[in-house]
Amino acid sequence: MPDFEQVVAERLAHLNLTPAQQREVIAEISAHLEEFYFSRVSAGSTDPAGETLTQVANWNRLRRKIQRAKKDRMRIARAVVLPGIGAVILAWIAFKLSVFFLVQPVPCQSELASPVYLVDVTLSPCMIVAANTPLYFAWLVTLPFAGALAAILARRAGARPAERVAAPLFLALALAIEAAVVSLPSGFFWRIPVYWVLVPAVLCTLGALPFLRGRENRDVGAHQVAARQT
Amino acid sequence: MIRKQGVSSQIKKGSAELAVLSVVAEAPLHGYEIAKRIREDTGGMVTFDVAALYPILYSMEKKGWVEGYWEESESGRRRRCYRLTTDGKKRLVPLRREWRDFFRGLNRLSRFSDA
Repeated sequence: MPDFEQVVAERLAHLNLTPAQQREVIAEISAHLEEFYFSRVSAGSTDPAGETLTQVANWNRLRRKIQRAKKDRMRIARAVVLPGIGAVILAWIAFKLSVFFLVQPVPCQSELASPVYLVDVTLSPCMIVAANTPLYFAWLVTLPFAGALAAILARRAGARPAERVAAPLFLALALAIEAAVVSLPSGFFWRIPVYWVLVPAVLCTLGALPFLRGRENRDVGAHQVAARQT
Repeated sequence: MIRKQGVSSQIKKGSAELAVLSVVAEAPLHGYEIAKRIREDTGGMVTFDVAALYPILYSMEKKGWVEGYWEESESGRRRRCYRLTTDGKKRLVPLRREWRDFFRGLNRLSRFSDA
């Protein structure tokens, strides 16, 4: 009997799926071909292997069809974008609470006295938050939790480790946009990106680190069985 | 592969979904058994090869109509079985009705044509 697992693995070698999904597909299709082979042997076929291989006339076409069928177009949205939005919301709430409890709005005229600032137009049209105030450090403390939340949500959605890092960085992206739109015209070109984008991004990533390992998705049990089989 | 000459791909796809869901609705089966049951129950009129069956199964699994799980057979071989989900049951009811109405319509049409 041909080694159908090897045959299928060679012919579906370039499947654009995760390694676990690929192992699963190969294990399943080779098991099907083996059963078909034994049925042809039982039926007295003179060429059971040849008949079995006619089950797939065009392996490239099968590969494309499997990829299309398995590919989840909404996966990136669920695994990266939504968890990232969760982190942004958590960080935003933390910022608002910090502002509410720790900071009195500063008149706009004094903004140039602050070395680094972010203008928050939502609470007060003239509020200025300096990066050297207690508010800034209080907010920074919450960012690892925002990063952790994004990584946990991403993991639950089946994200790979790299995607679990990308999700918390959504916050940095949102801050970068705000910094570019609102704050850069002030002239503090390097300080704002460092204090309000780079430092938060590092803290969010640190919060996500403990959650980079662990199950990849809900179907991992099946993947493990497939992996043991191969 | 479903072999029905002159039938559009849309009808092929719909009939393939009906065939697979109907078979899996009776009992959880693995891929080879699904193909075998469809061939036997249709008297060989509808047959699925590997190239046709698995893309349909994977697509239905992604839609949540069937759920795949690994099982060990009596011979010790591990195989992936498929069972119908609640969403699959919900999909099967209108699918059966649509096909019943389709065949009734075709039947009426062919009788009128013969007359």
